[in-house]
Amino acid sequence: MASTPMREPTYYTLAALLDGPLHGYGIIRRAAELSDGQVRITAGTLYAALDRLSEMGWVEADGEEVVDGRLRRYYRLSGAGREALRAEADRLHHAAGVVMRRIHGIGGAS
Amino acid sequence: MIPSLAQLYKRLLFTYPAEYRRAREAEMLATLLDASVPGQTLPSPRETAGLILGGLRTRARLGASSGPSAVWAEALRLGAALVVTSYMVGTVILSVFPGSGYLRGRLLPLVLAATVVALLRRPRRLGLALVAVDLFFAWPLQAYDVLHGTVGLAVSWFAIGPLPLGLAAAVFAWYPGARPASRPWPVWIIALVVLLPAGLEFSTYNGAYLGMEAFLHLHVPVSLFVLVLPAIALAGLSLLMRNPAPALAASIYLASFLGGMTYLLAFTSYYDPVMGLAAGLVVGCVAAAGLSRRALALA
Repeated sequence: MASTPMREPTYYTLAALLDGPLHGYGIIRRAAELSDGQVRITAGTLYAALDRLSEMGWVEADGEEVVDGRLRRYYRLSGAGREALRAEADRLHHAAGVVMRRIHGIGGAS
Repeated sequence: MIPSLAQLYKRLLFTYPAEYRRAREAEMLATLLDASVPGQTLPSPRETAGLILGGLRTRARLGASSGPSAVWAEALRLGAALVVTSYMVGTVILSVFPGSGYLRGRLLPLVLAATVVALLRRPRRLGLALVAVDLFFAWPLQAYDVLHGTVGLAVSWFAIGPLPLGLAAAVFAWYPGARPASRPWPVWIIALVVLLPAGLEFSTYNGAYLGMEAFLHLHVPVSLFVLVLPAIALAGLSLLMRNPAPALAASIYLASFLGGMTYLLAFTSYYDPVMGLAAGLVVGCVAAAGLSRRALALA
């Protein structure tokens, strides 16, 4: 499924769910923390991503609760979602390595 | 009374389809309010842009899932609405000038305005409404012009033009599978607002043709502005929403202009210098429709 590179908000949405289920705002906050404030996902972008990821079976709803009169629905990462995220992280790691090895002169750069 | 932040966000959520809001509104509202800062009274520009784009894309996604016949039905309805709107606004502008007559200058714009409202509220009846306008108003006007030897070819063409569009839209409206899962009404509103100046083009076109001095110098620059702007706006909207309907509607609208110019050329040998531009824009809009379909497949 992940033959094309993931978009950044999608990547960080999945990454935010690695440590356990989160509700909408929890995902937005965690994604900002993990990216050192670089990725600020808007609600419109988040729910578009959650719709798509749910359709792909990478994310699943995980119950809901009402806190201070506000509905919070939780989402968790599925096995397929975890696998797709790992594959994307491997790809990014490899892509970063190609550059870093050359910059630092490791691995026989020409 | 000043609306609260929650009420303002709730209004923005209207960009999403009704069935989607039923399932997600409370949750999205909670997320938006959780993400707001203490004392915030207005939606942030980033969240506003995100919701508008998200709503349009959700409508496009649900709309596109209903198949190509629904996309074509939507494009035909929107294209016909654009033609009628431009005709209506143009007729109103032209009616300011003496000699336009009561029927054409006063009554016809009202009938056309009612048609646009009717087709926005009940799109399935659009075809019949357009056919009725053509049969009972445009055609008698054309006949009157021909019988009395007055100039009416270009003026009447834009009312006759919607006839095939209306018939096609009516056929599509009753065609099984042509009902979209979600109607992208924000696109309709944006498109109609963008297209309102098109009436200016219509009035300058006819004003120039009728020899009205004030319009002779305006015609070409206004044509460039009015043809190019809607084409770019609707093609851009298609690419943004990943839905070919707006770009196809723009193609239909531009093709109707091209048809009007060809009609005039055939009867009066009046060559309009913007014919080539209109033809190029039709091709561009069709290409944008194709690209938006591809973007949807890749999303």
